[in-house]
Amino acid sequence: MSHNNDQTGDLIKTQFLNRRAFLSRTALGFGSIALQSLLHQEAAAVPGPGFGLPHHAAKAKNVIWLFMRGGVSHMESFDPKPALNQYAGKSIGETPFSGVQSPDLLKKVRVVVINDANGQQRNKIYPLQTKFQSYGQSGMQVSDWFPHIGSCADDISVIRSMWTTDDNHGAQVQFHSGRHMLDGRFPTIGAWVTYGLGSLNENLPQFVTMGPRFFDKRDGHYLGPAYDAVPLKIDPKEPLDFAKPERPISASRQRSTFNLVHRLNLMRSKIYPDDEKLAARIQSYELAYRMQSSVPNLLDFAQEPEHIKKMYGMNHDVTMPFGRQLLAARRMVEKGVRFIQIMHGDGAAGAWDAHSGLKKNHEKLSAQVDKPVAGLLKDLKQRGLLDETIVVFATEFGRTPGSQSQDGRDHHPYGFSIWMAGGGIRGGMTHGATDELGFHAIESPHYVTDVHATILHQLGLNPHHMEVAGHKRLEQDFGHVIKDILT
Amino acid sequence: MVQVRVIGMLVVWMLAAYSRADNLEIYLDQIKPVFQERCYACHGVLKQKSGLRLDTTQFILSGGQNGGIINLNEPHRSELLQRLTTTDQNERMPPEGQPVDTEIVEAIKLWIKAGAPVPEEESPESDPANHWAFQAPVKPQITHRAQHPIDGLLAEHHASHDLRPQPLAKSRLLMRRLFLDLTGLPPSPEDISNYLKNPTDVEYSKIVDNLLASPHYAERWGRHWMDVWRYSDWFGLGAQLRYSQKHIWHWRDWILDSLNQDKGYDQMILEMLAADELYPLNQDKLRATGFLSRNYFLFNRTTWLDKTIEHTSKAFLGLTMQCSKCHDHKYDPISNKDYYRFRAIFEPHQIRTDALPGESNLEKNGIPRAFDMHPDEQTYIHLRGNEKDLDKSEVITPGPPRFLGNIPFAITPISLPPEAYNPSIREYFKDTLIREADEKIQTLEQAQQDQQILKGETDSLVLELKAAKLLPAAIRTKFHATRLKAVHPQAEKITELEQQAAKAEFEYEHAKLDWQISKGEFELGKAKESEKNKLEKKLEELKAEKIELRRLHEKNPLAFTPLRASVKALESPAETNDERYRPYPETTTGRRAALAHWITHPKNPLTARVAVNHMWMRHFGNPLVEPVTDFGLQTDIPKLHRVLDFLAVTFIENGWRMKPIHRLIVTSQAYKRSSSELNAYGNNLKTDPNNELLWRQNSVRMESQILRDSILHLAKQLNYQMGGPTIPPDQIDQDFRRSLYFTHSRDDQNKFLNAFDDASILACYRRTESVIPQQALALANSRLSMDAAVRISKVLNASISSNDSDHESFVKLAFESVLGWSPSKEEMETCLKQLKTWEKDMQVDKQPLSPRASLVHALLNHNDFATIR
Repeated sequence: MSHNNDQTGDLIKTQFLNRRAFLSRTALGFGSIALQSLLHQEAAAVPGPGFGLPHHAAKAKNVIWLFMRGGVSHMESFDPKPALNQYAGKSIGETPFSGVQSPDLLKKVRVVVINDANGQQRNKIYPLQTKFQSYGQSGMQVSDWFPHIGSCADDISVIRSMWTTDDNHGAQVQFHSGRHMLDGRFPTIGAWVTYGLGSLNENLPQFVTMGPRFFDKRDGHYLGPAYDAVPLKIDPKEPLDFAKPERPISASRQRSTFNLVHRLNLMRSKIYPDDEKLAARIQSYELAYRMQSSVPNLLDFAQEPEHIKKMYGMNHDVTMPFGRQLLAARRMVEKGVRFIQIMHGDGAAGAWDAHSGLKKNHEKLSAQVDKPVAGLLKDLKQRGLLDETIVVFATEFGRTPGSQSQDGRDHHPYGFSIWMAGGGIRGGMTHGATDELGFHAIESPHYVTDVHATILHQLGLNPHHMEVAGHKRLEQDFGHVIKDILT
Repeated sequence: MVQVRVIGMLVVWMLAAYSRADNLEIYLDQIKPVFQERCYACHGVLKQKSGLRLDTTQFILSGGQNGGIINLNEPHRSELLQRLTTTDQNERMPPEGQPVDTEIVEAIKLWIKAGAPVPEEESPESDPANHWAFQAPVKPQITHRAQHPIDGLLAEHHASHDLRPQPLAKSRLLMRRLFLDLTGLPPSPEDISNYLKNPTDVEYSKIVDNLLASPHYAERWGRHWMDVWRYSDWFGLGAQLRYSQKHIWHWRDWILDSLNQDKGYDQMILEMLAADELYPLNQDKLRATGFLSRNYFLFNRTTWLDKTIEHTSKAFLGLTMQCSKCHDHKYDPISNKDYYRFRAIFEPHQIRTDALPGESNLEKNGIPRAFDMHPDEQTYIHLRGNEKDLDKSEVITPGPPRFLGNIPFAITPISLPPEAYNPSIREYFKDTLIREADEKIQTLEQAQQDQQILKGETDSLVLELKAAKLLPAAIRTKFHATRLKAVHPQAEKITELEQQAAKAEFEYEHAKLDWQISKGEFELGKAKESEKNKLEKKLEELKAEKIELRRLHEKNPLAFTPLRASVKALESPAETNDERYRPYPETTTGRRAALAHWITHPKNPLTARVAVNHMWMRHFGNPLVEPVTDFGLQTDIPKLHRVLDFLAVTFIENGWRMKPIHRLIVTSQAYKRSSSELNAYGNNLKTDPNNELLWRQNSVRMESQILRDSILHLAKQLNYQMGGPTIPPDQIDQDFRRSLYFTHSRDDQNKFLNAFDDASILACYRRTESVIPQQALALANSRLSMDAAVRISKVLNASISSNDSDHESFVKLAFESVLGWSPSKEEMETCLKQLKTWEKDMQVDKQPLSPRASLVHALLNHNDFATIR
């Protein structure tokens, strides 16, 4: 039976599997494909079920998506605002920049929680809590909380003119899907990428997520659960749900059981020769069997030399948790995992949410990520992988120029910073700008889906050509490629 | 961009070479589809802004109230082209979205240059009133002779398309299909052998009746309707409730009870939307309004009502009303104003939780239910859907979409009985409180007898008991005073009773403070120096409170705090806790009752069709109308519309009872056919490869719940207890209740059920059916399937009388029980060989699983275990 409706993704997938004349392949017996793909990994690459092939020549193959949950202060990371020191303690109205609070400029934000304490205007200018240095040939300004990322300045493009419309942490969902939380749930960028391009490796899931999620734990939505990220834990013993038998069974018995299932399914396919779901089921068992060993192998760092682990900060308790996720990400890139999503910052809202004690909060959290992220960039570069891997360092919104509870900053969706690197993104580039207070994105403002469009473009996909029947996409869903940051 | 321009020029160049006939084709193939998509909504049959229609060439040529839009003499000066290409945002058409592609503009230019040729027989968009789904269904005449009406109707299609249906499924598979479809549990070997002994239509009908009478039918179909009606337990942030309501499982139990009783679907809708208005004191029926409680959202009333509107219209009417929130519906005759008329129906309602007999703590139990809290709340249109931008020039009156105008809609406000709006005067609530108070007294007396208390604490225990003994009197007097005042507001005795109540409450509260002070002094005596300050302060506060209590009582000797048998859900985070106990209105607007009557009116052309379509889909894997939530103009008349209408009319004729429809469907030959396409008549696959005309049955993957339940049922481990509070999902490996009883919310999901496309809590009108490797891992590696394999192999061993070496009997029985067919020769040989190999392995190494358990394990992983063939 086929579901030719909103589950189009699955239908396409099953049709696609059918096109591959599974019977002729699977008739070789269980495990034969595993062997093939070990020998010829590239040959086993599966073109995307959504579209088959990229729309145009690709500059990049993989994405490592790093997301700082809670909202990183843009003024204290990648967008220095000396005016905040100059006018510290004054109200915004007392500065020459009082125009930033004009109702017209503020109206695009949609509040989820009416009368919420969060998201109120914070009037009293709060001075910068850290200093900035120039880095690299480009002289890029990076705060003292991110010195290691600063050392990679010539490999990254900072975008200082991001904006979004959700003034609360639903903006996390929005940054991934492009839609406000109140609009419902829509496929995330990782789902679109994997939908559009498919897998590079038949032994591994194509879309992986690590770290805490809260507001939306799904990705595929109307594309179907096949495009949900597979959650992985850095634990070779149980890296994903049901990766290991929960009751004792010998390896040989398990293999022969899978083998028996395979042969019995093939026998059944004689009675249901056109059943695409049966074909897909047979193949999914092949992948599942291989994932049991390939996924733990991915997370087994025994073969990694000490100096590499050190690059990721795995020799220190502070940097180790994030560092090993990033090392795993590099290993996944090497093995052809398409999209690796890593979320940083515990708690429902996200740890970066510094409503008070911003200095202490950002010092602590930046120390957890700065070194590992720089290590990842350098390691990818020395292996020649940075050319084909886009690394994104993002957060849901920035923080207010004004203070909240004496020593914190509130949510700030009107202007904030992220950066991208690798995969045809220019190095040493600072793009866009906020006003003197860091309030509004005023030069080359970019809505969140512009980041999606840029990624899809570099991967060879045209977001306008990614339509799914029965699901109208809005103009904002497509975004615009940020051409200035491309090589 | 460069690339696009080059291509654009190429197209223009090619077009220039076209003839007049080609230009006609350009209009039909390129221009008209774009007009249809981008322009017809405002310039078509639904609306004619500026008096302009664009749905035929004739209309285009005749222009609008401001004159012509085509200039045949100077094509480039045509208003049409100028409006499409202008950069002035106020002038540009269409006003929303990207401008029309330059290629299309060039095509229009070319078409005008060619004299705007008119196609023959171009008809305007048809009047939406003529849309098939907006006409009342009529029972079709069945011309084809068949024993069963559904087969007769299908036979007409088969004959006209030269299709030859597949034979009926084999008896075993048919029984498995029937049992799983109707109860969600596979048949036992006895069930099957009974039918095999006598595989007649009469016997089959008897089995159908038994299954429909079984309570498991309600569990199976209850879960289906929970999908459609968006069942979700509450969730939020930590302890803060943000979505849905606590104890909403009462609504789930109401669904199950209603299905078991075969309550009419019309009655079910009345109860879900308006039980509080129609049956204000009927606790059983009030459970039904969980349908509304489920949409609760703490933070934003508009989001809450948007969801209520969207899902009420999708679930019952198959209309996508949410599209008209910001502007008139693009495709359906639902205006922006209709949206807010619909909203006005729900505007007054809020959610509250009422106590049930036996429990006064509403955190522990109670019925979450709808009621009208703000009968005078006004509804305004939100301009462009912006909740902060209200059009206050007009108060919107409540009503359903106006295009179905021939169905009566009448609102009558309803006076409620006092017990409905004042639950604290319900006798059972007083009795519950008294019982709880008596239990407390007994506990304290027991503690005093046991004397397991430290010296010094005894004093405070004496005082605690003294206070506890004053509570029943306080409850009784308060109850009587409140009740008399509510039922006979003019009674003379009220003042006297109020005085008694106030006094009893004062005495109790006073005694309670005496106890708390004594306890505080005891704690102070043994406290560390560092804590003393805090405890002393607390003690002072208690003493001050005691003085204040007396002062207030002497000032207002009639005042007391009423009993609290109900609590309103917070209307927003700004609301205080005390505001939740404000008195409830004595009347209800009757708006939701009016809507429910309108939806269930026999003349409503949508309601019955939408419902039978849902039922059909769950028997055949595919619906008759696709998508199941949109019966609007975008959805063409279904191929099998006569089947749809036959079922819809039959449904209403049978008092909207569902069981007769299920019976009708599953007794048809269509339902019983084999799902295999093997040896099918050649033309079947050529003419109808997707089986839209049902020349065979479809295979469906089991829903996640049914998969787990079936495994446990085969392992004889399933606990068949029905109903009750939800079970935390982390107990899924210890608690073997059916899967629908587990907590199901954004935060509470089970990883096994999730792997198999568990229902999305946001909307699940139809389950997704994916095939992903995590499913294979779940079935291969979970405790659930591995334990079940061992247990099932033991169950099977026990039922074959022959000796251990008789693997053949075992394999046969295992196939028949787990998969529902007798193994083929090839399957048998493969399994026997495998068992022998595994036996040899056992001699070499000690293996944790017996060969037979491993065989069952393999069968549980077989594609056709999770598939309903």
